[in-house]
Amino acid sequence: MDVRMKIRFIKKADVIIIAVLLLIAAVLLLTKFLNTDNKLTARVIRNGEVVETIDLSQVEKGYTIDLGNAKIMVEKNCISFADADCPDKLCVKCGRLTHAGDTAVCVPTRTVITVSGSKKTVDVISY
Amino acid sequence: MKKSKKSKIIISTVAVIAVIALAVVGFFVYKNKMPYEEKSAIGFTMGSVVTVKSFGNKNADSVEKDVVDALESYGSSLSDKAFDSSCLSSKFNGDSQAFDADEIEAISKAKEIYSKTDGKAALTVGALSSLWNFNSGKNTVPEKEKIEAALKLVDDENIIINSDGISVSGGSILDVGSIGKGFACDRAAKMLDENGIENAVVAVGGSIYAKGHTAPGRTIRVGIRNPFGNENEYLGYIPTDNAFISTSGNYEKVFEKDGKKYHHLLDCTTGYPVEGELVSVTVICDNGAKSDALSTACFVMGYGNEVLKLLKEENAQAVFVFSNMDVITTPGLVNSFHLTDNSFTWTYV
Repeated sequence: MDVRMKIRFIKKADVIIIAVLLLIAAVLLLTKFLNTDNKLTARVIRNGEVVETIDLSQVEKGYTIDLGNAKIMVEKNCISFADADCPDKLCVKCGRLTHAGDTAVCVPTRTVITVSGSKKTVDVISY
Repeated sequence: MKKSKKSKIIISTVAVIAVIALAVVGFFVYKNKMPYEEKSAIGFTMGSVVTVKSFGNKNADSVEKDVVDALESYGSSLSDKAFDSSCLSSKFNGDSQAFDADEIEAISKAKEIYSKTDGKAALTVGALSSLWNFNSGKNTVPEKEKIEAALKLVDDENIIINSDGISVSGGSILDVGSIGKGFACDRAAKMLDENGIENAVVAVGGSIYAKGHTAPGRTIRVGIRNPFGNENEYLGYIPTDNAFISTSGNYEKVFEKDGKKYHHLLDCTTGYPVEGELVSVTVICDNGAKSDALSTACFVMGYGNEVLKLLKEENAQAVFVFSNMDVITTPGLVNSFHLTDNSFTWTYV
């Protein structure tokens, strides 16, 4: 009698534990999905190294990053080259980066700014 | 008795809730197809940015950075031994150099492709492209006499290909600028394969290598730049799990003088930039240097039966964009090309 009761109890406890763990896992996964909304992350890369990572959705007041030979303008949900020491200013002409996947490059100063986020239609652009 | 019945109900309820929750999450996972984790590295080579991205690479090593480093040093060594009109820093001194088997194959293929362009494209365009000097930023139109003199040195018959190297006679200058970035993609692809990377995107300037998936069931989406917009705007995309893509367009390296626009895609029969209705050609095929050479060849030849025949012979697909915003794609793209910008009109051959 005793042994039978013990076995049954263990089984019940196991079921409860497993069920609770599954519930926790489910809730965690769900919140992870619901959290990947429109957050845009900008990166400033110099010579292949990331020097700044910015959550653009958290930017309230616009500011400028002065890298010496390049100046970068950071605003809410937007990043752009304000100026650079390069002959053709193609980086500045690239304009404001506002979507996931947007990139602007200044080859002479070896500066790249990228925006990443979850809503991306294409992974790369051929030009 | 009551106690055990109550606990049975609680257990069953919890179990049912857990199963339902799992089903809901499973549904979400299926719907969103959780993307693979992305790792990337950035560098500069051949006058452009190089980006290497992997998806779902579970190794702790830095393959992406290794590939970028390899392409950076390759670009540097290439500019020592060959003239590259796509970058400012070519240190080529005029002596013919040894090339490896892969390079010889890429150059031979480009020579073969350009031989079908009625002289409009050539690997020996070096004398002409160095005269125009698009990368210097000086933006001057060379004098007519100088252009005519340079044209005399443009002749791919002067290229002599041996088993271990390439030499050029007659004062011609080999210019690898039109295939360098595509070839860099070939080298990157080889390295990624050797390192067991199954999902990756490599971009050397606008030349692309795309392999595998970014999420379960989602292949790499390669966008085609909108020639009338900035470099982040695209008119459509092609999903692929294994392709090399290169684009030639008249919106890159262009300057204006006396109301006329001069772009860098030179017609080797006139010595001046190609004229016509095409603004860009994007070629998709199974080799990087080939896609690069083909996009150049298609652009200088212009849209027509000759070009379609060439693409078919080389087992390549292409997207042609015209100044009136027409887009024409080759038959193989009818099921894969997606137009996303409806200000363009798409027809397939």
